[in-house]
Amino acid sequence: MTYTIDPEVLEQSSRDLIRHGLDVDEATRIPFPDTGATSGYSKDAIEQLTAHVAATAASLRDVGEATERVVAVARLTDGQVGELFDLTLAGVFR
Amino acid sequence: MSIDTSVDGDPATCRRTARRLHGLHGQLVEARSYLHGQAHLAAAHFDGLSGDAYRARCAAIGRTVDAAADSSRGLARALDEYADGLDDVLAEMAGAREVARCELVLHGHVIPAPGGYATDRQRRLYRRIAGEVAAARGDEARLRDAWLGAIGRYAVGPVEDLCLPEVTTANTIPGGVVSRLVAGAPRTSTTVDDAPRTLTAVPFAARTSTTGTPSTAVPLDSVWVPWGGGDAA
Repeated sequence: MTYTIDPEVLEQSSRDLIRHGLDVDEATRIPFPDTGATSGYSKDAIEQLTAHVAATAASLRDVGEATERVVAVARLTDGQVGELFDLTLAGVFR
Repeated sequence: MSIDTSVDGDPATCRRTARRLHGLHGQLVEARSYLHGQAHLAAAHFDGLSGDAYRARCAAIGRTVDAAADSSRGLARALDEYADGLDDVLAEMAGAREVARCELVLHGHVIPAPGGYATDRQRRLYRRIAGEVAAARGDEARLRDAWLGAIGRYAVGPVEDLCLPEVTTANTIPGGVVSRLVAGAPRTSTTVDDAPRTLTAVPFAARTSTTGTPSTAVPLDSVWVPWGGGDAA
């Protein structure tokens, strides 16, 4: 049994995922507010959020790059992969 | 006793941060929308276990993005409201100083207590200003607590990591801008991990930096009183 992988669609998905990851990462450059006596807490809160978002942006890029690798394989096999190969490819998204 | 009208904090920097947080929210919403589409990518384009793993991964990242989007929007709105409230407090204090400049004595941001040569009118005016400044201080404290509450509510990680102080005034707000701030939007998104949303009961201590350096207010007793000073009359 073989499964279909559309290289054209996934190539676009890969590019879009990486782009979204870069855009989100760029947006994490947030200046700290001067909230007076609570400025330290404000800074910690912003840092916690931006660290979380930066990790999420990295995940977006990771899955985009993993998709790139799948596309490369799909092109070699004309978009058709067997069960065992499919099982191997699934590992790149985990 | 002298009246200190100085106020810590800068509404402009709060609004600048809020703008960037709104921008971050926008980017996250776009990413979330795209991930939603990828999580439902047709099997005709990506079939098999690898396709399922791809869709599952996109859905999982989408949930993380969702939580971050809600947090960035919540913090942005809370900061905007904090800035508005702080503007009100600053205006109150500026008004108090303006009256003192005309009728009493103003020493920087401090209005010294009327001394022995002050008139009854000046004493009454001083008491009125003291009341207004005390009310503004109350608003300032409630704004501070509301902002700390928002930080706890919209934390994307373990709230304990933020070592937030105990909020003491948030439940006693009569109305106005402060109550709008406290009301806030309930958290509706999928939360990240299972971080508790309660604040840790740490007594409030000013923290103006991560090193824990407190803000420096002018000690009331150290103010020079040009007209004889203190409560001599």
